[in-house]
Amino acid sequence: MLLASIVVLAGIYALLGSGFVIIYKASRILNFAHAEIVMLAGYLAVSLAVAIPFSAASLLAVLCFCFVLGMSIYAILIRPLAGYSVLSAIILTVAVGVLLNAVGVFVWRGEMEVIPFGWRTYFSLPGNIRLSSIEFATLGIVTLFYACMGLFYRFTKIGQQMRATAENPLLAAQRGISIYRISGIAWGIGFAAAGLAAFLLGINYAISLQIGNIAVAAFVVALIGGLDSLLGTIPAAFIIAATEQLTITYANPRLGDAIPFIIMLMVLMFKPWGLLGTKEELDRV
Amino acid sequence: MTKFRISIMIIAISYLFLPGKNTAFASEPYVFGFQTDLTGDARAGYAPIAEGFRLYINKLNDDGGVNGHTIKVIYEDDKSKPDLAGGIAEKLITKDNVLAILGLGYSRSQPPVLELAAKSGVPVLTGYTATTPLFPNNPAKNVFSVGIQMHPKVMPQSYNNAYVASKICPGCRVAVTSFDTPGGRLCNDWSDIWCKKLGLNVVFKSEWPPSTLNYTPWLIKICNANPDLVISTVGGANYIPLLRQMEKFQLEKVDLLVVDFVNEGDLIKGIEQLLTGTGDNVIWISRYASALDPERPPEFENIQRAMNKYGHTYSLSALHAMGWTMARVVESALKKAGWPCTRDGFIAALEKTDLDSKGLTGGPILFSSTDHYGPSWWKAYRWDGKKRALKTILDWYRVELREIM
Repeated sequence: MLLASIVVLAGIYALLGSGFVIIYKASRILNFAHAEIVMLAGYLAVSLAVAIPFSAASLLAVLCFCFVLGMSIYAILIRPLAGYSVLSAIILTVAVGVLLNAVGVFVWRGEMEVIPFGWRTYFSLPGNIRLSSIEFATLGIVTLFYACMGLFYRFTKIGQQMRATAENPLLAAQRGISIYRISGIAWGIGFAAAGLAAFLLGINYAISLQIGNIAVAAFVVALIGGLDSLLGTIPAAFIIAATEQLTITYANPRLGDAIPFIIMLMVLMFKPWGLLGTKEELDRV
Repeated sequence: MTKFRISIMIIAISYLFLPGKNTAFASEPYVFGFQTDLTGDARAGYAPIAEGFRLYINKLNDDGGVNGHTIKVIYEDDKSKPDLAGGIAEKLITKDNVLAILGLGYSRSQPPVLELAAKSGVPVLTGYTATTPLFPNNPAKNVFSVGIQMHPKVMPQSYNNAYVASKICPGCRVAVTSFDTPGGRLCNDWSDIWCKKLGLNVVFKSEWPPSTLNYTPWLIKICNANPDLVISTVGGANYIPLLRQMEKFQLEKVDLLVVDFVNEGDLIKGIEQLLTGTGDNVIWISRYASALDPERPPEFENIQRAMNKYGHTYSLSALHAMGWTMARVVESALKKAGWPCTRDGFIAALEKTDLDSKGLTGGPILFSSTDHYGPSWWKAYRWDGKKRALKTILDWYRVELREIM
């Protein structure tokens, strides 16, 4: 049961971490509004779930909203800061986070909400493991997301342009790639990943103003995996989820919140560019 | 010169009509400050109290107020942030010159407010909890509560957890759990002590960080301990995922006992989140009657009417009943204090409170010069999945603080 729990939690962490990575890869900006995006997307999913009875349809609507929101924030707020210090854009994302938090309080009052999920059953697996339909759906959705992102980066024109922009923005621009358009799409996808994670958090647990706090662990996942490596978020998420759950179970529960940061410090000491990140990336940072 | 005289006359007449200066034309209101967590982490446990209070005061003002004066309430939001609480109290006391501070929220936000109020001689009437450093038989001169008192040496909630558990399941195996916060740990320690005193077998005791989403590590240990009942002194944020994960671990037959800090709205949300269960194992202990009780007192209909008339944000709950009762306590004290009313006069009037709660709690709200909290009344319910309502499993019982210290 503990192993199953670790796998599900790792899936959610990986998804949250991917949002950081996708945005960072394209624009070199750490999005500190990620936690609030998760919260806002979660509340939106709650409202949409009431309006749209089909879980898949409400999920699709959330993803579309997050994608448009991400692109809009990039176009309106981040892009005009091109040419200025990256620090300005990072601070701006903090301000966006505060603003989105206020929207969450104003519109949804910060109420505790749950996202209803139509498929309600439990599965008994060998080894005395019991998984809910929601956990199955979570694992399926996370796997599908990573598969789609892999195919997107490898086989689509926009995906290839994203990789090119991530590797060398100047050269990409000289080759006729609109790096602003590509960065905007990356922000959209990063926000959509946060929306997807919010939906999964909402069906697995509950949505509240504090749900985005879990994004702090996801930030650690992104750092450990390597800020420019989407694939790196997968082993990093497993490491964080496993050590966190094992520490709570076999050591002291009070260390549970601290353990991701202890691991982050250890990784940064021995491999500062992360598990699968590029060393060159560290020089850029 | 004539122009000058006319100007002076115009200014003098205009002054009379300035807002706030027309005392000759309308009566002054009684001014109160209501300071609580209208938003923030703990909002679910406190904001409905403020709403219940507002509904009664609106109704009272529409009926002409008290002693011919309306009641003006300045609502302030602590946002569950202790660092804001002191500043808000200071503003209410010095700038707004309130007659009393009402409500309060998170126990960790209360000390700065209570300290400032004590220095200024401002009465404080709290809702859900009063966290005072003084013993109940020697109350702070200015602090009253229509809820419960929390103190390291007396935790009524912990006593009630154990009392209800011992009544519904005498001698059974119990797991005691709570938030991993100073108040939560204290509450859990006292639940443990009272369970043992009342003959229960405590087989598991642990606290979980408030940010916990995944309870698997704890539930593995709870399963190994094999309890008949899990006591969990938490709020909705923890109760909702906990209940679902208990279902996953096939603990549907193990009772989960929670207190009214989980409001009825969150109680139902948790049950609706179950995949296959009906929530029949959920036991809920409350200081005030539940709105989900099919035999709820008729006074709830008055609250519902006020909600329809004045608008509301939260669905009807026991916390509304608490706020509504608090407003009735204020009305009763103002009637005794008369007009004008000083802070000392309001304290003296509160000390004479003997208010019929109209069935919203088990007995009257009683304050005296030596007891500012009075006895508390409690009721235990179990969720009835078929009827989708709460059914009483333990009718009103009285708790005297000095008896459980």
